[in-house]
Amino acid sequence: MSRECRQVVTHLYSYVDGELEIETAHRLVQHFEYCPPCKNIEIVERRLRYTIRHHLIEEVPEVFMERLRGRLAQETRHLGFR
Amino acid sequence: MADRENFQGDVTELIPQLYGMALRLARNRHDAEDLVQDALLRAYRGYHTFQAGTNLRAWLFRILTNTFINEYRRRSRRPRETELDEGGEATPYRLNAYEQVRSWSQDPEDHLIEQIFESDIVEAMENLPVIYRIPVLLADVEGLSYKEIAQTLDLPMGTVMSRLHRGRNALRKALWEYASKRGLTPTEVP
Repeated sequence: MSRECRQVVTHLYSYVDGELEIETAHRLVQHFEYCPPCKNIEIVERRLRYTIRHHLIEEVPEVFMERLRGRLAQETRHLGFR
Repeated sequence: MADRENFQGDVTELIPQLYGMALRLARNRHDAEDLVQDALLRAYRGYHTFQAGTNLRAWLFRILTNTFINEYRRRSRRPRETELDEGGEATPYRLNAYEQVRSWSQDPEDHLIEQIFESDIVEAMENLPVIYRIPVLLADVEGLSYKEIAQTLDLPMGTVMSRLHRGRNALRKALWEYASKRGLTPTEVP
């Protein structure tokens, strides 16, 4: 593994988060252009993020939303508007 | 200063995010619903302390996570919950997680990642110790920036980044192990 590939190890998460400082991000972009294994890692990391997010996003049960609205309305009456 | 009269209108669109977070923290729907309700009632009562125009989402997540840590954690805590390896730069552990992603990425067209089971992702996430699970959920599911996570958890950015790093590595390691058991990993590991 080259020194530049190690940079990918260190910065991959921040890079994919879009939180890496611009100079370092630029170096990674250049590295990806001529290092297919690292480019693949970036692709897989993004795909993994998408899959995790896709499976963990939840719909709120309508019954619970109704109950919550009722409870908040009750609290509103209790405390009164100010 | 925010107006209590607008509370319900202001928070309604954020309830799905709060609920998703609560479910991964409490690990069951019943406790998650109680947690969201408790957090919202607290938020409502304290809404006059919220600075209108600042980050409402971070403020609500902060109340939710504090409520969880103070009141619900005991119920849902598992005995094996511990801190993750504190290792420094480029520990074998860190390289392992990278190697796992790398071996998954031999052929990005084989779409092994998309075949990871939903139940495995839920289990791997819910098994992360809470101090790592919270920032990982905030970043990877709810899409908060590092700065927002630091605000939400009242932690320095460096701590947020290191917890995210360790938490994500541990999550990837667990997913890799589940996938291996199901035969979803490439046969030739580099």
